[in-house]
Amino acid sequence: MDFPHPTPVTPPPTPDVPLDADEDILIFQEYSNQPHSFTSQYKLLQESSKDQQFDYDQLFFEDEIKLDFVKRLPPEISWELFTHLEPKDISLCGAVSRTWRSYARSELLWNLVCRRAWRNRQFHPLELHPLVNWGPYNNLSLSEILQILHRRGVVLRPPTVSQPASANWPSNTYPVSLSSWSWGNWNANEHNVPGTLSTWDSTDNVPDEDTITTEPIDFPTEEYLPWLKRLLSVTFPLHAPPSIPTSCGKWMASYVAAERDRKRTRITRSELSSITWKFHSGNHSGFAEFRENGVWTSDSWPHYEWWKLRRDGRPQINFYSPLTVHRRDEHFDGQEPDWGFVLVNEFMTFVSVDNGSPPISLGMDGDTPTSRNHN
Amino acid sequence: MVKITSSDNQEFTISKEIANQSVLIKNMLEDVGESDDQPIPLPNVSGAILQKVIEYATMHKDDPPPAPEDETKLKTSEDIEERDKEFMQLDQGTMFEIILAANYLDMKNLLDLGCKTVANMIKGKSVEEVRKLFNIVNDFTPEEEEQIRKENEWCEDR
Repeated sequence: MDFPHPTPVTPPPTPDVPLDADEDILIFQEYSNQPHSFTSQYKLLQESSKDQQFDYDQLFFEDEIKLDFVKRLPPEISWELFTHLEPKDISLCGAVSRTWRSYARSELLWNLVCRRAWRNRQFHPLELHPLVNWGPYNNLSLSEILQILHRRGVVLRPPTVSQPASANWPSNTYPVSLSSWSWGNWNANEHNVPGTLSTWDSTDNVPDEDTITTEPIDFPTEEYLPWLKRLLSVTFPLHAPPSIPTSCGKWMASYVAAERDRKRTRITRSELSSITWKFHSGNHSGFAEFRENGVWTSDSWPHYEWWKLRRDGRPQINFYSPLTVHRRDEHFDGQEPDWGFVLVNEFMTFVSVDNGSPPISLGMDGDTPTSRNHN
Repeated sequence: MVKITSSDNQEFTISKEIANQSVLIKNMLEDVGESDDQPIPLPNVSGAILQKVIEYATMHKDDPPPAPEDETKLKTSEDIEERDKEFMQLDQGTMFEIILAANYLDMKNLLDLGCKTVANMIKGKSVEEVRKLFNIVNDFTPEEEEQIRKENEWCEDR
């Protein structure tokens, strides 16, 4: 029942009927495939008109005529047709028939969908989305895998002389470091990963300078692919939104993941601390920082405060009420939707003014697997 | 004036500005030069369809040249002019042939209009409704259908 992974359709497959044939005949063939009284009528007409020139054009006065445009039009026009549809319509069109599916699931088309949807959007660079379970995908390039790992917060370090790289899994010598927040959210046990990953909190476990070779090493290269793919499976964040399809192309999966993700009403620790915030409260207004060490500060606030991220994903400053997390989507304030963040309580407002610095955090800090609750 | 003939040998005489809306005819005219009085044969377009295409070209002869296209800008199919909407109120067979003719004659605006019109027919419809609209037979196995149903679950998000 498995579809082969959608192969990029560039250009889309040629319909099974040659298009240079007489178009009228094509229309008729389309028609005669259908259980319709017209067919028999036509056959009768055809019989009776064998000896004379029969103009079947005259039969096209009916507004009952229906034909499968997508199948009958030249592939490049059918493709063009799909570019005029909204993502949801495209998604549904993939269920109409096999021919429709070949267009509605083409990588090229969904790449275009993503390019349109994510331009001017904070937090959504044109990259494959880190919240998709990439395990079943065999068509990812090395650079795509690295990109996804990067956005999941995985830091790869080149192999060192004392710690030569090994393409085998598991190995505690392989050159990867994980920031602790992302490690906490990984589903390592479920994947039965034996051995330990070298986790690395801030600067504690960074190898000594002299063990890091100064020779330029070609890393990571294609030969690490099996291992990088394995890493991709284990680093699938537990808190990814549900039902992101993996039977479709990579760009469609990414689009759906982004759509689901932007509905979340929680923010992560690293998003909070990497973003620059515009702050407003009464007659205070300026920029603010949620520092990684739990200190909150603003150029328009007389003193430091502490902040924490609650288990429900809402940040809280001192004993002020928790800040509700909003996204600037198309319903927000009539502003150009950029999917940036807005944090509000009755006293303060924060607006994200930049994209933060990568890696964009994915783990839902403060959440636990059992408390996951999606809408 | 330019003379063109359809596949069924109907001859049409049209002004140059109308003829030039078809890049195909425009290039042909440039190739043969002004002096030639021979009609241009268009063996891929029937007289009835050519009539409609000329009607469209006449309607749009005073349009400003199209702005350069930005591929990443969402092409909204809602921005169809009222007169174009009326023009495209056709049965599916004629619509199909007009799209083919626009492609052959290289008339981008008309081709766009055709694609947008068909896209508008699809928009917001359920899978069943789309099949019914174009008389398409479902050729998926039940297992495939189940898989696709899962792929489309996100469409129900609100």
